[in-house]
Amino acid sequence: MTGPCEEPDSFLNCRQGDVIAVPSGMLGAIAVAGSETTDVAVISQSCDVVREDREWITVAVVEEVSQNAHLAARGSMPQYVPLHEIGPTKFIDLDRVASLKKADIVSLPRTPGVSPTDWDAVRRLSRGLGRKFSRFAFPDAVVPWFDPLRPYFEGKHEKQSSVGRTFRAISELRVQSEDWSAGGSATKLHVIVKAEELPESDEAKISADVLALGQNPSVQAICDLVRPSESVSRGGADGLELWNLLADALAILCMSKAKKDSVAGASDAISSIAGQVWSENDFSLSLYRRSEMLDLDHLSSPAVGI
Amino acid sequence: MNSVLISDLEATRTNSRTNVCSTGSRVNNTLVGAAAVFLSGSLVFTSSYFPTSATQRPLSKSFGVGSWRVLSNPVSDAAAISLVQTRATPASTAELVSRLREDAGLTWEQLAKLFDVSRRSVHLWASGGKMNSQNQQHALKLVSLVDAIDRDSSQERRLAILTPDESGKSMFDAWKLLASAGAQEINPAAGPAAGLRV
Repeated sequence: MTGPCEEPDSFLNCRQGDVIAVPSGMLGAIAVAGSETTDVAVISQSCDVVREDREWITVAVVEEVSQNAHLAARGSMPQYVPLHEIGPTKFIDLDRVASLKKADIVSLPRTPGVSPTDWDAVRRLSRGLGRKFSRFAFPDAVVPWFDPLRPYFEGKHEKQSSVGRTFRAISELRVQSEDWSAGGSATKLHVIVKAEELPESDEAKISADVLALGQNPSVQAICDLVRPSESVSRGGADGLELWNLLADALAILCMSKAKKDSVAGASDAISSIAGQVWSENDFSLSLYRRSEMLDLDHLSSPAVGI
Repeated sequence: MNSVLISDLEATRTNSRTNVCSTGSRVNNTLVGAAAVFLSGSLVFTSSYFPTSATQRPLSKSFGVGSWRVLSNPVSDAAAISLVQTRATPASTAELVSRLREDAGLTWEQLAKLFDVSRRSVHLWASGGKMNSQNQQHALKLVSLVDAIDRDSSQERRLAILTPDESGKSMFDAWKLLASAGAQEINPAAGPAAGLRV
């Protein structure tokens, strides 16, 4: 654990993730009830924090997450961003954010919530903040279409099964439409696989057991051939075709199992979804800019929202 | 603007099922979408990048899923299609890729760019891997466009496709933009989506 920050009387060395115990009265309703002080973490970008011409600083309450800390730590609860430098159950609660005058808190002691020399941790903090606040706002009517994917990434993802092993090799899902707000859009589901997990085609003919899966095999049947065990994965044209089929199978799941009656306009929101598999190494910046990250932990049915 | 009517797709497999979308007498479930999208006017082919009947070469070749003939539209600028098509089979994806490679003289990399997919996906299709419906429709469009170029050899067609015009753009550049179009219509009564989430 890193010690208190030096020069507490200026923000020169203050960084994103630093934790400050501020008087609860400054925070209003988001403060910890019944406590004189509330720990907050700086979520302003470090470059903005140190600038003298910036009068305000943005902070979020630090919370002890005892239940479901493992879910929060693995990123399944985007509201929480881990601050492992001050404890494994300490998280920034991004639903409780406030702006404070820098002059009011400049003299208070600060503690790094993330080690400034641990660049992985610094990146995780930055991504966690970005994930919460910069995600794309899908139209309500589109969201139910992707709900059928959720069980595969929430439940089966962690399991020691062929499905779990296969889905852990997926780096990211992205979706693309020319116009999300126009009804009946043709949509692409990009399944981006970790570079080392997606085989190159060896230009050999596809094997009989893969062809025997047919045109629209189940996710389970595909995964049984992709990653039958921890140490075995299918390579070459067979492996690539299996991933190709999986991308298509996920698109078909969205088309066939989505409960589109739950949201007004949902049934007409999308006309088709086509799955396309990619290696992390192949997905272009151009496509990245034309697509949106499908963050299944963030997608919530409007029906269950407040 | 000189728009294009894609018409009268010729079925070349005598033993395969033929579907006529324009007359509605028999309908292919994959290609209805293609027709619907074109008919909705979402694609308008302009003369400089999308050859018309004036430059069309004879449909001498045949391949697994048939071939398309491109005709000029004498009535309006809106693109319209009527087509006759045979159901694409898994084996035909390899034939489609092979046809584009041979007739257009395009490299794997260039084909990947035309489809907005990775090179390894094009290789996979050439090995008989499954092509999704959107890419299948795009492949058919590209074959029809290549077919309409009035050149004798694949090398000449390649040159015609890749050579930029006075605006600095080539047919290839324009065709790349088609990759995002083409859909399998499953909700013909599409309406406006609900409001954006904030």
